[in-house]
Amino acid sequence: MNDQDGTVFLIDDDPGVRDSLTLLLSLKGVSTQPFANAESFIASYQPERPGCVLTDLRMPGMTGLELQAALRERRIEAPVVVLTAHGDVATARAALKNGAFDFLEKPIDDAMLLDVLRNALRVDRERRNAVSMRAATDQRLERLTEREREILALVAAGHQNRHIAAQLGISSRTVEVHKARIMEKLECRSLAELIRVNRTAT
Amino acid sequence: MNTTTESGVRPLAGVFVPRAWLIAAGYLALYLLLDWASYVEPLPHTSITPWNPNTGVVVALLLARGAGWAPLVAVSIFVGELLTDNGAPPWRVLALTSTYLAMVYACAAWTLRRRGGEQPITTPGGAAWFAGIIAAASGIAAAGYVAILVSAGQVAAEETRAAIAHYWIGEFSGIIALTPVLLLKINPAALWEEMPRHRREFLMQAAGAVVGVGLTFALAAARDVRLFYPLFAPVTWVALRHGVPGAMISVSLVQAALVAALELTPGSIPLFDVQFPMLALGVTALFLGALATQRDSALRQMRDQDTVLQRSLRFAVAGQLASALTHELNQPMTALISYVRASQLMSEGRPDTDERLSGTLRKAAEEALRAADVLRRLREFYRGEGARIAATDALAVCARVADSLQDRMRRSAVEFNLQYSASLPQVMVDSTQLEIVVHNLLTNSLEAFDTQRGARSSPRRIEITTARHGADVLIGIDDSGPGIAAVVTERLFEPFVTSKTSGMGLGLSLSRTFLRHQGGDLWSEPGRLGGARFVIRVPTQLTTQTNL
Repeated sequence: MNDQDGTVFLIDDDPGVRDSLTLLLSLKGVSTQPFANAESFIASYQPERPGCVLTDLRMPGMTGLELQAALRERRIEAPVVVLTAHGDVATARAALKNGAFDFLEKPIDDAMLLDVLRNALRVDRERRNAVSMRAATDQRLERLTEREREILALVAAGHQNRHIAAQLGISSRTVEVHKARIMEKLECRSLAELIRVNRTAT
Repeated sequence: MNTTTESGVRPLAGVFVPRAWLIAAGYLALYLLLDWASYVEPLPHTSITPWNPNTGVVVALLLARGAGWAPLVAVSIFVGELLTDNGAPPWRVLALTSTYLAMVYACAAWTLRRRGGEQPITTPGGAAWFAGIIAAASGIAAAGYVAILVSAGQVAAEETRAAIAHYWIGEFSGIIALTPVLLLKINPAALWEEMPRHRREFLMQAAGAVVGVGLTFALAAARDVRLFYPLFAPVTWVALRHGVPGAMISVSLVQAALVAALELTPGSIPLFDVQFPMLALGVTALFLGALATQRDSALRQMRDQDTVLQRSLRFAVAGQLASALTHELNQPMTALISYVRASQLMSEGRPDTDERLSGTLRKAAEEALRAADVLRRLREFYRGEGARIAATDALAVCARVADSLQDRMRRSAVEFNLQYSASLPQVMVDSTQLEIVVHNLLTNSLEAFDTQRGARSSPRRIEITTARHGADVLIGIDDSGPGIAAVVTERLFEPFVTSKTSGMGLGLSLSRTFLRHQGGDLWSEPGRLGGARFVIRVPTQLTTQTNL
């Protein structure tokens, strides 16, 4: 793993836990950035950096649950893995209800921790890919004219060329030409691809 | 016949169930003995006497064993009359009266048994039923009995009223004194153990009885029956201290002593004249005894409950300590395990390190994990697992706790109010734990009042309100005390935080822990009475979150 795979943002008030987990994770090849409290993490967070959050629940100042709320408020969608030394069932439940990615009890088995963190990082990557793909598709769709968009919608709905021609009052030949233009603009090579692109668009 | 009487109730026999013929023989012997002994002052030419303890045996048998024993009763009455009678009415008349009396008392016993009359009397309600039915039954028995004798020409018509009065009072006072005694379930071993602790009291009560009886003898000779009333004092004392058993045993003894005194003292007043005060004494003692019995059993129940509560509380404190301990130790344990794992990774693949290093590090990691596991199990042992969740009436729990704190509230001059709400659903919690929580909160309020010395201008009030809230029930506990100190407010529910000079500061923390493990919660709010307000939330349905 390298930095492009994403960083684990480790938030824990206990210096021993922070230091040891950072050491262990970096030895396992996971890039880790420790924070002593949730406030300093939020202050330095850059949305374009991929990664996931690994946070303690009970901390002086902002608690793990409050951090989740703060992230949601700022529309930060990085997965949050919650750690607690207390085994407090009710709080854990609250964390999961708040959308936590997973919940781990201290002291943790390092294999399980690594598993969970790798999953969280993968989810974050996939989410980011989906977002960027959607953005690219949107950009390409922008290039279509009004008429082409109309035809794309009909094609995506599964209509034959003859139907489309009849509905729009144009010849089948013209529909063919429009379709070729649309494929070119959207950089698609087949009809199936065209329909998929249309679906990923917002 | 009721089968429970065969197996469950052994009023005549103590602790073992005797065979039917044994009961019958014992009954006949006791009946005839008492019938013979109580044959005093009969009305002229009749066997009507003003004292019939033998009928007490009749009713006891019918109550304990059921109305099916009525034929034996009829036989015993017949034989009794035949043996002791000197007026000797024809046997046909005797057969008729015996059958009639047996039927009347069988009906009375059947009525009482429908209300659990075969059990010893333990409440004033039970005493009232018993006294009422027996008064009516003995009246009916007396009227019918005398009517038969009059129509058979055995009793002169002008003596009818006197005969009925004599017979009724004899039956009624005989039953009321003796039947409750015969229905008692006395455990001789327990009584023997009890004895030394109350020796002085027993001695004094016995002395009181001896003085009373001596007085009775002296007064019988002096023909002044008004002074019979001193006997009320020792009987009342015994009734209040020992409930129905003591009361009715002493009434029976006093009755016997009185009869003996009057009969053995030549020229004393007629027994009939003292039978009314005797009856009054019997009924009074029965009701006082029933009240005392009821009070004693309520007290015992409360004490038992308190013991359960104390044990639960100690367990909970230990649990809270375990929880705090695991929390504190889990942080360094986590760091330790991670460091060891990191060391393992660093030592791997390095040719220059001692080959024993990797094995040592692996063992170190295993030991650390083992320690962590011990902590986890310790915590799980104390966490929630002990809770027994069942449908519980939250209002009843509150009322029970308030009852147990009644004395303290009175001492602190606190006005307590529990607001009932009619349609409150049952809640799914461990009732003992809910009790601990309510107990804790009420005690906190009371202690807050007690710290508030000097200025007592405002009235001291504690109020419990309940409300339904979706699938939950909210229980609010308000007081008009000084409220919660600002320094404490923020950390109110953390363990070991307290504003009190005594106490560990675990109450609120473990109360919240209890409730949360059962899907409920506890928090504080601005109070409506100017002091503190705590709100307990408990679910009305089972939640699965206890094992997340």
